[in-house]
Amino acid sequence: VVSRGGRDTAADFRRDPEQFVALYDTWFASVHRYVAARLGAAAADDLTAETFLVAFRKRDTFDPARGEVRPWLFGIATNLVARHRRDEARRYAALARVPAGRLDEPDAGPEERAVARVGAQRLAGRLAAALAELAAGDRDALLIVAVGQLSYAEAAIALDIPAGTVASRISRARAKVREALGDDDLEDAPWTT
Amino acid sequence: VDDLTPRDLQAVADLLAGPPPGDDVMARGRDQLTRLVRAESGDTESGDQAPAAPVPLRHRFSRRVLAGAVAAGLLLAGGAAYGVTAGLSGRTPHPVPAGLIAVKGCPRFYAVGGTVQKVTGATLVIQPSLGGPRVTVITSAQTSIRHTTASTVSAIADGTQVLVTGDGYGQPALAAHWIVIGLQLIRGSQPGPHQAPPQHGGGNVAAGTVTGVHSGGFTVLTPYGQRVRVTTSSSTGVSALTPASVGDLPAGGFLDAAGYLGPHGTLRAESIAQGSHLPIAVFPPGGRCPSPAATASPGSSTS
Repeated sequence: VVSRGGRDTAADFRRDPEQFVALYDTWFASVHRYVAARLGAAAADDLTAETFLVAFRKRDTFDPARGEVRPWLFGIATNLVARHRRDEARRYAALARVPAGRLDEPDAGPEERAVARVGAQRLAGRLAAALAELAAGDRDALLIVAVGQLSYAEAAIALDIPAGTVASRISRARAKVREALGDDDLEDAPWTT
Repeated sequence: VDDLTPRDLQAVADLLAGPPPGDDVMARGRDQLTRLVRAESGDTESGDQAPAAPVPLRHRFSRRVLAGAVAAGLLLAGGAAYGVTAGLSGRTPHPVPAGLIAVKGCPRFYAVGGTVQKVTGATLVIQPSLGGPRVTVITSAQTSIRHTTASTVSAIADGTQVLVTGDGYGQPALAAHWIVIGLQLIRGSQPGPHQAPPQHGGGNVAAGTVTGVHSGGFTVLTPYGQRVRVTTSSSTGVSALTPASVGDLPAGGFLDAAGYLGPHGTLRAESIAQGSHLPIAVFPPGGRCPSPAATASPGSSTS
């Protein structure tokens, strides 16, 4: 049995490869959500699976002393996402161009329908545009915290950078996103605080 | 955005992420992982005989090929198919450099899949998708280089070499989701006596020579002597592997390369397929080892 993020689990899967499948069941959805936010759901299906294949291959490199399994997996996922920077940029650009009311058009794509599904569609477009403008490292830090819901400490492990660097990157990213969104009432949102 | 709340913003995050993955998506990935785990555990027998993973249906052709090749136990590389074994364990008979996959039964013949980092003349630098250091791939005039282009069902005729992925595991016919034209199978070799043929050419994959083309489908004659009926529909996607040159392999793109290991960890490419991805699994070997291609000196041609 795999407990979420448990260190005993980590020790188990390094000794017993079969345990790694249980790890997959525990964290697949979480990693998928993070990857999908960056590359889209279709690409995430494959890349998330690849994340676990790579993780399995590199399982001996996992150091329980540095942290739990989740940030380790997110770090691998982030590295894989980094190989699709152009796809990510194209996706954000596409989302930024989705006009209001697109949902009602029969040929609207899945992403467009999703963006249009809530009243925040204008915001989604702005957010996507802002994300596209961020430096890659800043975007990694922001999204791994905002979407992956990792703590700063976990993000530092995942991105293999000091916690202070995580904080500065997120601060910089938030400032740009806040500027793009243009509203002070969003202080409590993970994107802007 | 004045009326938007943090909850709305989180909803935007949800929108970016889209719906959660379905059980079928998780099952596919779990099946792949299980195969790899079994291989790592030395349980290759059960790994070989395990039902093939359903083929993911993605907008990106390359992954369809990946899943199909996994299920078929074949490595698609430059239009040729080989049986492959994962280079992921120290238990393999030959040491395998990180990021490379050993082709089972072919000493010093390896494959790598990943992103092109740099193209210099006839030499490509690949960042393996499995991790590990970058791999230098050296091409020559004899290297089979192909890239993927869009095609149609009408391009399929008797004698066409195809790889078909679709639904229909255990069924008499395979409902094709995606077809790859131009796959040259196993280079005239048949599997050995201990190489169990995959079902239907690999569960939900059929690979081989097309026969009996008719309206709405055709039959695939696999290298294992099986005949798999394939049905096509308006939603069936078709791609073709067509000849290309090093110049058609841009930096940043994905490719698979297979060839003999050279000095200092270089790979002398026998075949390259742009837009593909390597499978990670242990399967029965597909056939005879390819003859080493004469390798050009790095930089002997321009990209």
